[in-house]
Amino acid sequence: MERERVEPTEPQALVDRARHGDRDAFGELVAIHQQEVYTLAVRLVRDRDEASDVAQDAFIRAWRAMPKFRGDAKFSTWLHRITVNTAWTHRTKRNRVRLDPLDSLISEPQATTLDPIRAGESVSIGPIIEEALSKLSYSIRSVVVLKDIYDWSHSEIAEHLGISVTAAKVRLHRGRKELRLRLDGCQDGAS
Amino acid sequence: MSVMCSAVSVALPSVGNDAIAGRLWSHIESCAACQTRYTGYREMHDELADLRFVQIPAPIGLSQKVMASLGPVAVPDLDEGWDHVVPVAAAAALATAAAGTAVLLKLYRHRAA
Repeated sequence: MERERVEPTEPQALVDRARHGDRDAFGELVAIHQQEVYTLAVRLVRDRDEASDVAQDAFIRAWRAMPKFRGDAKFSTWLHRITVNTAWTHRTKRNRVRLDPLDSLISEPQATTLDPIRAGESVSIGPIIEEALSKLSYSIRSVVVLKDIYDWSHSEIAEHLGISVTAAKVRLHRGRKELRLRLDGCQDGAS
Repeated sequence: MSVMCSAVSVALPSVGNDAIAGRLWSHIESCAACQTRYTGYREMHDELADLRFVQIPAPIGLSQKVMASLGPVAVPDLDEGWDHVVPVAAAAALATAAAGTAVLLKLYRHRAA
């Protein structure tokens, strides 16, 4: 699948214009960041339709909060935080309706594309690990994704998921262990 | 499984990119089973870190949906906002001062009379 990517010419200028209510500038930022926001959403909630809703809501929240963006963090980091909060809200709403019955049953194949910068490098078990990740429960998976893929600190994870730092560490330990077991199972099955 | 193997097994999921403590590391170097476990975790950790650069294509039309959902109301212009705030605040302060002075004058005249 071919990937479209709009290269940022002057991202800071776009952010500044968007902060002042420039919709066109914000539209360019959406085009630049939609793939990474959607990717994070898929990794958190797994279901692609839900991830699309999460990504859409995250951008709408970002637009509303643009005047508050002070540039203390990178714009993409700020967007990631909004996406995590939005995914958490979606998941909470969803759990009020039903108790996550599909979470451990459905395994959706995930077509992935490599960032061109890293395209030459090997991604031997990338799809396998994505699938193994998708089988973890949401509460465990979100911690593993944020820590091991996006390199968030335990305190950032705890703050954005509304849990204690200790709980974040415990979930990470359980998640890595479960993931390793699942990967061992995959490799045993393949050999 | 020996006590040290168990300790390694418990420690590995918490380690991530961090270095492993001395005694455990010495054991890993001398135990083939623990070396295999350690390598498995290291590889898993590296693969997870590499996923940071793997992106899933966004659904077609996502950005259009976002832009259609923003609504006609744009966020307020920050600079314009401050331009309005300063004169309004100054006018409010002047009006308050004038009203206060008028009340004091009235009270003074009432007592003088």
